[in-house]
Amino acid sequence: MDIDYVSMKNFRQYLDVRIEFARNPPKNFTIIQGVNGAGKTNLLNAITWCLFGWELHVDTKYKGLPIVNTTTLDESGEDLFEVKVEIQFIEADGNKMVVTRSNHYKKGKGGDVPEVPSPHSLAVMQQRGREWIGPVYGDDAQYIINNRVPPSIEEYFFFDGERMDDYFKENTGKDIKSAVFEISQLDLFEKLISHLSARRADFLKRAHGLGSKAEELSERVQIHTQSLETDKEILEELQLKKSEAERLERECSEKLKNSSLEHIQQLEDQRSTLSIEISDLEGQIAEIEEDRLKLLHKSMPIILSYDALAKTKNLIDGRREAGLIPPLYQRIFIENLLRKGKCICASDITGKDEYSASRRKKVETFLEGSELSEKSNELIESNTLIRKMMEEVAGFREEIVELDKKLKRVQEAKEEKEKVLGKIDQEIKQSNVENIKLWGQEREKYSREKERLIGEIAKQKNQMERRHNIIRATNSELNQELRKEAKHKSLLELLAICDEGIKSAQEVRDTIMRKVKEEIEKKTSEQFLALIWKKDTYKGVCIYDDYNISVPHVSGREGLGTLSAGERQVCALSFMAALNSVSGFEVPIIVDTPLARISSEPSRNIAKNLPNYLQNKQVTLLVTEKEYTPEVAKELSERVGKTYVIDVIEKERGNLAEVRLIE
Amino acid sequence: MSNVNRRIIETIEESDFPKDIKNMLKTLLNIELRNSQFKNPLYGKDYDRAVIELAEARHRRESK
Repeated sequence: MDIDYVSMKNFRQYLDVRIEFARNPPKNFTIIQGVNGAGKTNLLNAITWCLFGWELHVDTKYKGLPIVNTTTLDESGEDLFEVKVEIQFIEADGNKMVVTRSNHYKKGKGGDVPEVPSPHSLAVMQQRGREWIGPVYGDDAQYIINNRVPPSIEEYFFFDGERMDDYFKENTGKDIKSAVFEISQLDLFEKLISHLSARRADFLKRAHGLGSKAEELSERVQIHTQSLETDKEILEELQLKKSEAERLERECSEKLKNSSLEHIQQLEDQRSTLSIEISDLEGQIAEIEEDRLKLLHKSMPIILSYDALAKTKNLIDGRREAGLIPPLYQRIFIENLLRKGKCICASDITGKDEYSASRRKKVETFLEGSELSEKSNELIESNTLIRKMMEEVAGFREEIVELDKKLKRVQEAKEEKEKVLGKIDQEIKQSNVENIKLWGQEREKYSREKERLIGEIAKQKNQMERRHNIIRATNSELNQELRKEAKHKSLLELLAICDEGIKSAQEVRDTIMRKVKEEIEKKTSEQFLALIWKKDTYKGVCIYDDYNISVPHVSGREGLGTLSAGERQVCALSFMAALNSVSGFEVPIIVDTPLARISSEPSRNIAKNLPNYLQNKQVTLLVTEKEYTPEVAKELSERVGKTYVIDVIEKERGNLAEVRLIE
Repeated sequence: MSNVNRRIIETIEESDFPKDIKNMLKTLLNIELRNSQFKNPLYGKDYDRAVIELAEARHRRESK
């Protein structure tokens, strides 16, 4: 980001001045030359005042005085006076940014010049391609400027050469370190690490709630599935045994049926008929029991909540009869009436008379009650539903009594037939014929075995059904857990990426910090040794981790404390040049009186070497004639694009400054 | 609109981290730089998006 121009109006000695700066490398150095007191420092002050609202270094003779040009203020017939500084920057992408700060002052009593506050004192306009954005005023404008040139690092770009040696007083390392941090944008890493750590903590929190039971559930499913296989085998075995018992029972019956004794044959025929009838009755019993169960399932929930349903129904009916439930209407209908200015009865409600107003109020009351109206609809629907449910169970008592009676009748009929069957069996077993007796006994034995096996099979089937249910439920739970597990796994992946990101960011930050410090140290040292006129006196410049500086003497003792003011200035210049070259921060450099304390030969040496350390940087040097000797000018000639001279115009009540382009 | 310091970008590029992590760092630094130009920025969604996109890209690569 380069400065394109600075324009000043009524700022201290500058009445109406515009300075355009050299911008095209390699000739991107601007020299502004002026005698002491001409206004060089106030030009630098105008820039910092425009950007931040303060002046970098106010000369003793201006201290306590307002920034307004008092000479012209006195000569002006106006009461209100404007001080304005405007800077146009050109960014790396070619877009422009214009910063304007203006204050208004008025003539007060006794020579006072009070400021007239204005919310639009600071304004920023930004170019984006063909469009201009803004102006943005006040705090928002300051925010934009601070992001381009953070105020905390301002003094590392806009230097006052007279005060440069102050930078290397003791214990300034911490400030320099934090400036390097900001200049190198390492603060972005601190924010990145902090925000990524916050996301990591969030992912971790979410993952904690998803500890999976999937493995345990999967094992449970496996165990039950294996047991189900065993159950199937047992069931098959029981069914085989039952079939065998049935076969043997049938064989005995066949033998008895085919016996030569007519009486036995008749008994067997009777027995056979009875068995069929009993089986039929058993079917009827099963049907009745099923019907009974269905009736209970359907009616019991309503019967159990019958009292509550009846109470609700009575309550709603009571309210409706008392007219306490609002009528049913749509909000949109009322809104339409109000918009058309009509009542429900079609009379006009827009008039100012009492009748019209009262109708309108009534319609508005309906609008307020529209939500209640929607609720009343729900209440009426619920009441209809309750009535239907109560009607459904009205005949429950009669139905269940009728089913119970029917069941009892069929069971009694079945018991009767079983009794007859038992007598027949008893008679066969007590036969005098040995074979008949034996077959009868055996059939009874196989029949009992069959009944026992039927019981066992039913139990086994029940157990298998339970196991099926367990497997189904566990599988459903397992699926949920697997979904949770997948989410858990993906959160753990995100967590790992955060860890990787944090670690990488820390490593990059530490690498840059180390490299920046090493490079600044190397360049400061090289530059210092190249610029210093007392060759072979110092070993170089060391920068510690805390950014405190040491200038070791060749003898090994510390030399920083014994450096002359000029040597300190060289050290500071070397450091600033190194800092700028290493930082990669794109802010122009302006140095006021860079060579004031340095004698002619070293100055020439500095002029020759300094530009090498400020490659591609837009640099402005505010110099006196004494500093900007022909030798210095010659050394800088390949980099200087514009040279100005500040002319002092003496006035009775204070000097004015005019800036003249000389090449 | 200013850019992330080229030294930072160069150091990230020269590092041995996986390419997707390098890209994520650059994305997050740009988010920080962009957000530093607003007064009350919200970070959560931008950060989540960057992390999730990286995870998804890794899944896509693994499934190929």
